[in-house]
Amino acid sequence: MKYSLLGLSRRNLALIASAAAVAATLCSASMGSGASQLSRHALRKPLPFPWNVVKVNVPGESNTEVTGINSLPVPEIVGDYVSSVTSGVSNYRSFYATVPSSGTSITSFEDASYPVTYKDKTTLHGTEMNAINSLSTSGVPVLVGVVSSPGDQNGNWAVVFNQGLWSLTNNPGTFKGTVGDGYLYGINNQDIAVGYHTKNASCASCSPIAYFVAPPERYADITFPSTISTNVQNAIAYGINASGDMVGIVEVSAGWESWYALCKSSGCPTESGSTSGSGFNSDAYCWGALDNGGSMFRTTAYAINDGSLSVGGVATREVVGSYSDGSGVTHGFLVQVSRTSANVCQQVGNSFQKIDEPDAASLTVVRGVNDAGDIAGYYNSSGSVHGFVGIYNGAAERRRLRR
Amino acid sequence: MALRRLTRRQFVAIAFGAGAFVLAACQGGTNPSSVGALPKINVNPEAGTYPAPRFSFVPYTLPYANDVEITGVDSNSNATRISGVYFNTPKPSATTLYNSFTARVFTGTSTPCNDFGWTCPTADPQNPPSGSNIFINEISAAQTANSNFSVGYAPPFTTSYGCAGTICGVISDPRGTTSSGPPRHTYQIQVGSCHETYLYGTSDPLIQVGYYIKGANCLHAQAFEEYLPPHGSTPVVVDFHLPSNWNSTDSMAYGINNKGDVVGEYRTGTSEIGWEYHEFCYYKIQYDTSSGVSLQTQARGINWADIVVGSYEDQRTTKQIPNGFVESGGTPYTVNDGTNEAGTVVNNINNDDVIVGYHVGGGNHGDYIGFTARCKGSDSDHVCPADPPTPSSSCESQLRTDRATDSATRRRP
Repeated sequence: MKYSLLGLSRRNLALIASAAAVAATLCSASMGSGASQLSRHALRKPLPFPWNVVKVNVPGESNTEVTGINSLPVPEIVGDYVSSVTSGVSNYRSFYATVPSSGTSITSFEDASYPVTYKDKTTLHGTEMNAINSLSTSGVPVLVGVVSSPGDQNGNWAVVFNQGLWSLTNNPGTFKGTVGDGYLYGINNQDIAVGYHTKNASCASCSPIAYFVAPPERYADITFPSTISTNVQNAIAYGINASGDMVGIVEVSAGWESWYALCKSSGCPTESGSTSGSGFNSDAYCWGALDNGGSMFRTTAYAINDGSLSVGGVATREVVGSYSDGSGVTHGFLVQVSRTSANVCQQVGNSFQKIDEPDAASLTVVRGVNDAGDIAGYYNSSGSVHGFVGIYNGAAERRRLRR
Repeated sequence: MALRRLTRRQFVAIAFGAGAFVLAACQGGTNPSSVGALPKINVNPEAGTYPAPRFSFVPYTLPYANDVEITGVDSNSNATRISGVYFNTPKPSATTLYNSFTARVFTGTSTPCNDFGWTCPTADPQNPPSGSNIFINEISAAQTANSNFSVGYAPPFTTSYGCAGTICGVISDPRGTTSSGPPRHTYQIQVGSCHETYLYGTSDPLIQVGYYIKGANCLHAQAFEEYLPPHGSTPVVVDFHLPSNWNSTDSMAYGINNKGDVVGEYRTGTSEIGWEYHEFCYYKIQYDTSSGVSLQTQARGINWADIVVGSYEDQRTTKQIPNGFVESGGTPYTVNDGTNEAGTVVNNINNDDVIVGYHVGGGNHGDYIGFTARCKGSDSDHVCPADPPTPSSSCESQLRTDRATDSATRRRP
């Protein structure tokens, strides 16, 4: 399978996930002891929408998506949109913006697009920035994403945008960049980014390919424990928080499903440079899955926050993403997960929340969640895609979960 | 006096006198190696006699100039295009310093100038940036027909670029066409209020690096990066902030690869030390620190594989002549012609490990002889630099703490 830019990364997942045909083929897979109870909670009556919505649409452009939100007191977001069509080919460009303290829309955007993408103008190309951290080691938020055809280079490149400076990374260990593509989807405040890279051009028979990078160029493939599956085909790490907890998706023999990994007391990549190229220590985590069992079809976990939630004395994280309900509708979700004193990953009971942007027609995808519980993502309406930010408004239904 | 000064700053000094970019000469002083234990510092690389030349040099000369310096080479591996500067006879005067050219050559194996049916440049300019007195420094693979994207700088008496009375960076972008204008766009770049801006490097994504002069008395150099966002015409200019404990007073950026890694030099006290910016970390590059005398190391170019080239002064003789170097994974390889007479400067390296630069001295009264070169091979006498491994040692990071960019203008003259 070959993943192209804008393919598996987002739109594929969302659109494919919204197809009932795909959903019908999914099934539950063998998971670890922390295997999700997501399916049961998904059937519960949805909680009220405890967020104040801020609409995000880049003026004059189409299909705006918000892909990440950070945890600064005045949150910043990152996203992308479809730029003007040139010669029948759409270009993707990216932005970042500050969420206003009041109001219902964002009107000021700053460009976060790679300077030149021009090599292959016959297909989609451009920049998709996927995440923004809160404070990097340099004290300024860092953006990560993927660039298709930067300069005269072919392929998809992981890209880091730090204080105006661009750095590309293709396939770790393949300096000539002749094989494979690189993608970054998440970054934490220690400048540790996550994503995936393809190991060969066709990505046929790929072994686990999720990886993370802590500049400068410290890569390690994420190896999944046997509790996830011994038959992993492909994997993507989408999100990482400051504690080193991660989320993503993994393809097992039965299909794709979401995973989350919560750091134990030590051994996790919480400091830049702490991850050598020697490998990734899966034992430093407990592992769990947000699987596709029951009526849940195709979950995609995109982000995990590092909030100070505490449920029953156990530190709890919030995971957001999307899933298809099997009827052609894609919903966002938020669910709380925690690690027990016995280092078992578990979903917090009754914490699952289906998220439908109030104006969404058939698609809501939540791409980001910050430590305050604010969310960001996109939805469809009137035939196009729009970004949104949900500022947590402290609704009682959700507050009770917080402490 | 260091060779690099002869080639670059001397011209500036000639043109502008003491009020221009004047920095202290090397007079000994602190041992720069004491600044910190960092990678890419070598006390005395390949000590002793000069190593046998590893590279097959192909001289690049012009029939109408005594001095030729090859400054840039595009990233392509086959039909390579180079940029260069030649000096007229007599030597540069107050109003005629140098001329620039670009040419297409098949480096390493064939006769220069006339491959692929091309002829040697017989008139200036052969390719943009056009006009005398433009110092072209690097050429990108981005091109239209026979013209490549290229960058350099223009001195104040070059009025055709609209920067009379100042030094401005120049960009020649051949990709654009207009119905009423020339089939290429030429831009001038000016950063800061001192009106001295130099461009030295560009990448295929068309990100430029160089330096501009700043400070209350306009005496300090600041390395910067510049590019044009997809939207709008206002350039983004970002300063490079070297680690504070390096105590740099001046910084220059000379080269950038397609991944965004950047090399240059900085000054602290009387030392000139190379630096490399790689994935948000800074590394020092400094060679031959054996005597404690501060000599010069300048990192000039970097390719896809992060192989760095430049020059350093050695102490094998009292001449302190410059040697070219090729550094791969922290291991420096000396590049010279083996004569112990002519200095060598390597200005750039492309993704096929073709290096370009010039020899100076030799038997021709110090003339500059441009060259392109490839590594000879892998026999024991000619060990070629290999692609470096992934850096595993620590780096130093000193990034700015604000998001602001510096004011800049980029406009068509």
